[in-house]
Amino acid sequence: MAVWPFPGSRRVVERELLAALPSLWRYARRLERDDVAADDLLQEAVAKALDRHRQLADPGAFRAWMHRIVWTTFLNRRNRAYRRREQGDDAKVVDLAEVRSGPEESLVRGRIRDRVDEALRQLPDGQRDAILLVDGQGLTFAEAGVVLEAPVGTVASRVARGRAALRLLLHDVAADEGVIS
Amino acid sequence: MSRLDELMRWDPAQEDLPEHLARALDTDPALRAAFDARFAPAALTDPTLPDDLADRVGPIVDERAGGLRLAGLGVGLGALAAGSVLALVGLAGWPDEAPEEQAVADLAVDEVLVPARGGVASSAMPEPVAAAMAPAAEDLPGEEEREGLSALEALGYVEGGGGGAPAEATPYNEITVYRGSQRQTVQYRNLDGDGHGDPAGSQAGTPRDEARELFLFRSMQAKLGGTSGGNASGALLTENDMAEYRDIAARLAAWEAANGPIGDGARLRGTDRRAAPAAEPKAAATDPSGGETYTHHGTNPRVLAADDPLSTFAVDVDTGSWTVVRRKLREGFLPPPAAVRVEEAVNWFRYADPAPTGRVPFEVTTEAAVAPWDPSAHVVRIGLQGRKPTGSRPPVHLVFLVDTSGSMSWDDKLGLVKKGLVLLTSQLRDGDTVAIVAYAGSAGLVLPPTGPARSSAILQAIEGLESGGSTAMGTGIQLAYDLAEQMLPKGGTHRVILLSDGDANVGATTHGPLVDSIRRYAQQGIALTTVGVGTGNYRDTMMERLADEGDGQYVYLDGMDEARRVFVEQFAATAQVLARDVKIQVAWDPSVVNWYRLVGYENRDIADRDFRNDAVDAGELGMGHHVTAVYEVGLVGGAAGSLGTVRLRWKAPGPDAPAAEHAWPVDVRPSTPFASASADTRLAVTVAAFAEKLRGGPMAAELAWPSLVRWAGTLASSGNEDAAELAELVELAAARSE
Repeated sequence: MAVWPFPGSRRVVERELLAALPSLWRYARRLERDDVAADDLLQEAVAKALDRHRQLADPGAFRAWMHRIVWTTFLNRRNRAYRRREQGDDAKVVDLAEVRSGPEESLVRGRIRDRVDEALRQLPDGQRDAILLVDGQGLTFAEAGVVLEAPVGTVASRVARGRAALRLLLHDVAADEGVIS
Repeated sequence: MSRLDELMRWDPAQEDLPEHLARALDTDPALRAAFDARFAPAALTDPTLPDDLADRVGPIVDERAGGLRLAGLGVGLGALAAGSVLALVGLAGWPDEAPEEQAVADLAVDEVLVPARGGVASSAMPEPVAAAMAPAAEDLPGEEEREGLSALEALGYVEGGGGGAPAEATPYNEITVYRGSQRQTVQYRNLDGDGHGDPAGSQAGTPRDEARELFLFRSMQAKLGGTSGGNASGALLTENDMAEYRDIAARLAAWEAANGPIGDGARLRGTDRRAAPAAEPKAAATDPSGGETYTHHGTNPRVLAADDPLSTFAVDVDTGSWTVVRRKLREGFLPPPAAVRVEEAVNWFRYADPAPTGRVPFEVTTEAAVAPWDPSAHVVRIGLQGRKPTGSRPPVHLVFLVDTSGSMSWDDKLGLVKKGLVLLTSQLRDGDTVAIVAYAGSAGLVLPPTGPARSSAILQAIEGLESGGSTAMGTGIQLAYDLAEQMLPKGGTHRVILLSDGDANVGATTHGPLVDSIRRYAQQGIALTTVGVGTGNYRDTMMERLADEGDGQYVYLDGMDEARRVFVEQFAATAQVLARDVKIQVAWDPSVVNWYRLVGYENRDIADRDFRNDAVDAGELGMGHHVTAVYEVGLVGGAAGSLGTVRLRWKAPGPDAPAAEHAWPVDVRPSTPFASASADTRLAVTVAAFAEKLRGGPMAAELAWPSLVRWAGTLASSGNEDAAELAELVELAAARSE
């Protein structure tokens, strides 16, 4: 079979990106909790990844490498947003979420998604970050450790604690939705 | 103590998991299984749950959760253990409010995130459950839809087949990357034609991967083809890229030498039922120079006048297609056939037909000549001239909706838009207002409705427009309409003017509801004009469609000249509506006309019976607008005098105005040689023939490039500026085609 090995090349990054985009979008959506912002985030991250394609010498490291880019981009964006808010730049800007949430957006599935979002939001930061990568994205603990710049044991612990917390939080969701009594 | 024991004794509340154990989680499936079992978020596995409720869990979850698709899990709550909640975590981020017509549906297919490693989720889950977690058949896009647009077509790798696919069905996970300093645009689409994003399927060597490689290679090859002449698209790829792709080409050739032709990609996906469909006239085509989108609307057929003497269509004052074509030709490409709309080319040009003098706001001029490409046929030009603007006009209230997304950051996009807006500001009079709304990651009011007395505020607002973020077109449009609506009580003319490359990568927000509201506002008297800019990712289809639904005009700016023409010369037409819902019906007389064919207006077709149905929407004409229709007709031998009747039906501006109608005879002198026809007729016919040639229409085979060059050259020699431009472009196209 023909294989095109281009270690550290843009081709490899492009190829891997193409395959990973749907999954990366989900991750971005989880981080930003907004479709529009997720698109923005991914746009920025993909641009960065292409610029830095030479960093990726080992294509096998793509998942960790790419998730790390998305993650750091997310952190940067969040910091920018904080700064903007402090400077009051957003005064004239209409919040997209407000404009969009009409009365018709009461779909039940939207509600469940929001509840899961909410449950995740209630987790301590570190736990949520780890859960999203390990359980949401299927990264190995080692990969998640690279992304979060945390020792792998810490990642495992955060996952364990996060799941325990989720167990309680999602129990309420399940009960409220009538799945369990 | 075994690692397993160690893990089970570990208390996550007390300390972090020792590193050697944590690492082992990734390599030792049994250990991972134990970990997952111990730390499963087992909220849904309540042992006190009665069995009958347990059986209902599946359906309930599915029904309530919609996109969660946990159907079938009701086989036992045990199955809802770790895997399903993990799935829930993974799943809950679905863009589930996205419209069905979007290719988002494709995304859903691979959303079921069952962690395969470690085996917990899969092993805890009985086989039928795992199967049930695959999306149900009805969750997949309809088969027709799936056949409509293969990945090959989405890439523009093959044309054709897109008949059933909605024109704006852009793959949701397409990502466009704009790289400022280098002017690079990279389009990312879901190349995985089967719709499974399949993040795990990236090991090289699988058939799908082969196909993906091939798609990428072919699309890059297309780009390379465009760069060989050192023309404008050369900027799209760096030298490194080109070397890389040449290397791939060599490898591909070697591979093919050893293994035989690699095929068309579609066949490589052995299990894929959707082979690339045969090319059909209707296609969503993508220009090889980038990810632009155009929709081919087919071509009108010849109609026997005895069968159907009536030819009915809505007027169209769009010109965007022509300026897109012009830009492509000047950049050294032949335009994609789907980008060429004959009527928009013909209507871009200016004609000297007489203006109306009486109470009817239009004058119709008709002329016939022998078709220069077929002595047995005639061409008939029908020119419709609207009343020209007088000195005074009612106030105009414009809301500019400016796309400031990252894709707009070039000089020929936002830069051009800003210059154009400045030009337009100079056309404002007392009583007029402009407002500016920007939309990107957030939609914002940049300038509330402001009159020319505060022109410095207007100019400042224009100057302050900056690009960044991605596009949420729908939200921006809503805000713009809200502003326009506020101005309605003030009377005058109301318009929302959208300036964009149409690349709404976030616009996966519903098109359906968006179009509905555009239509509703148009009924209230707020028309939507769309102004397209840019190249590389241009969405012609989207921009044209929006203007169509909004009863407004669609124009495309390929430079400052066009901006001046649109914003200054034609400002009166924008500022003052002459008539709404203008429909044309030509009734050919079957006793003299054997057959006819309307050249262009394919997507303006109106059913004959709807001509007098005033609920059926049609186009709007501004003050001074001119509309030309070119017909090809076959006359019965010896025909003379009137060939039929041109009927116009329209409504006066303002809501609730009743419809009016007027008729003119198609009074022509047949057998006039083409060379003796008026300059206007020769111009319209030459432009129509040129457009027909470019889009490969039915006349194309009979039209020779040298003839087109000659006709255009003759017109240009009269000193007509527009004709000179036509001649330049015909020559460019002829040179490119040979």
